[in-house]
Amino acid sequence: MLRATQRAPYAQQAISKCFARSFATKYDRPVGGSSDFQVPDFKDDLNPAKNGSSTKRNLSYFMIGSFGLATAISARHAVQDFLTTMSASKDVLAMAKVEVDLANVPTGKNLVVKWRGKPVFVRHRSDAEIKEANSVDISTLRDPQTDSERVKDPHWLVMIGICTHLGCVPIGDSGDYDGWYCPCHGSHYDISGRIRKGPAPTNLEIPEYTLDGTTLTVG
Amino acid sequence: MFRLAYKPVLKASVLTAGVGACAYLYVKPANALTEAEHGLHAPNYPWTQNGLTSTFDHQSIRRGYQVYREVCSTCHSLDFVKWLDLVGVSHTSSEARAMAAEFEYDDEPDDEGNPRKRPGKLLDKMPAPYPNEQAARAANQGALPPDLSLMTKARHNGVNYVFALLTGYPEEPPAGAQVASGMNYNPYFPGGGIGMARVLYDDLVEYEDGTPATTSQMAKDVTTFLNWSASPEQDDRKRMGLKALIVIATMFGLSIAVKQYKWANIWTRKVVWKGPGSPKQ
Amino acid sequence: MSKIYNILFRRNSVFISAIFGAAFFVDIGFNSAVDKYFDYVNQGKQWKDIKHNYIKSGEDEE
Repeated sequence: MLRATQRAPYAQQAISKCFARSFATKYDRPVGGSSDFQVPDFKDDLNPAKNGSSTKRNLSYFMIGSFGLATAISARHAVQDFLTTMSASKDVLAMAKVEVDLANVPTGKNLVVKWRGKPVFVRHRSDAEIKEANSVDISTLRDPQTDSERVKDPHWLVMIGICTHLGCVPIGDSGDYDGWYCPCHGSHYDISGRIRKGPAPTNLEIPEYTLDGTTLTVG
Repeated sequence: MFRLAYKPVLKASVLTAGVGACAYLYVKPANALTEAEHGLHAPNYPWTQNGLTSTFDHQSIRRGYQVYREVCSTCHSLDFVKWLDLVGVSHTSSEARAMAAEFEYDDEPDDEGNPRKRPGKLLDKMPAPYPNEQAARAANQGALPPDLSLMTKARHNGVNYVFALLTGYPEEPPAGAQVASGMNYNPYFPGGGIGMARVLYDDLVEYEDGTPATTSQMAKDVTTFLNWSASPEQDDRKRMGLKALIVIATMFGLSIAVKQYKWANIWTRKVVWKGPGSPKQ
Repeated sequence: MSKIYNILFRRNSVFISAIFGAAFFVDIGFNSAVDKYFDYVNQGKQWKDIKHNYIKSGEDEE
């Protein structure tokens, strides 16, 4: 183990040899001539009673340990601060939610809201439309889903207005099933946004939203 | 002989010349303009945000926003501040939303391509008073009211200058001062003639928190607000800086101790030559 | 004194784990202590000190 007062082995050997003879040796001054250079005296260093005490040793280790501790803390903060630069910024978070007041959307009308760059269809469905959406035999559907799985309040249908086929925006109040019709490749969606005819593989996607009275919060 | 003699002399003369040049350049100030020409130097005011660990007075930022909104914003834009930025600084989210909604912004065109308007949202920038620079100049006799977002950083002696300028309009220009027509005299403005007239008068706004709206109070609040808009990160920066300084100072002390420890062997080493010519043992 | 040495410093693995373990707690303690001091120095100036005047009851913060 390390010791605060440890000597290099070579020096130690030389010093002990020097002590073995007597303190007054030729090693007191440099080889080959006189000089006023004084070779230091290592008596205290070599005396175990005066040196190598565990207090001093512990202090040294404590200093090294504290240094490591401070380094670890700094490193943690450096890494953390770097990683937080990758997280969503304030404006993105503010964009993440869209609040819409639905009070003046009449029954049987569509509202299109932009949310994270995508159109969101909101339809105020009439009772007849709700009935129609629930009367479908879901075993005949390509992507079987009941209407209640797709809405929180049956009067309000909220879904992302992007055709699941190749990403066009379907047209409202059209198609063979009185729902949406995608003009690009002819996908027909019903009044619950389910795929009924055409190439699209799945129903129109439902985003995360909450409905509080007439206030819709998408996101 | 020559080498030995000329090297120290050369060194000494280069050093003397260097020190002399520095002293000439930096100790003795060179003034190209008079005080009146480059503007009176503003005094140092005791801002609450002065100092290594002092944050802004956020109540003052809130009042300052009110002054900006009711007074400054009729001519000056604040392009780099969004409504969102006020949230958690001087206003609550719902207050900021309500304030934003009072202004109209361009919306996306409708299905026929006609332009539409919509109420402001948190993400919108502060609305500018003029649509473009030409309109601003036309409305102000050719003078362009600068954007204030970074004003306390953009002017020498930032906050002190802005405060001194706002409160520094004398009753009438001193004798001998040349002020062009349509210009106003302000000793803190370079040249003394400024397009902006004095705008802050006692009780011009009514603070919602009941603070007496004196001229200097309004100037202080709006300057604090503009200081915040120029360096909104200041509070966090100071908090972080305090922590960093403590940690780094501690590590500096510890590194000296560790270095002593690691070098102890090297410092106390004795080298003995045992080859030919060494003393016999 | 040599007890401390024997327990903490003799094995490097123990020493290193002690450093990282202590770093975790010292970090939390140091941060909260400096934050406390900073908030004490700036009493009444920051938004968190004045926001109770403006947040209506039952409303979300910020």
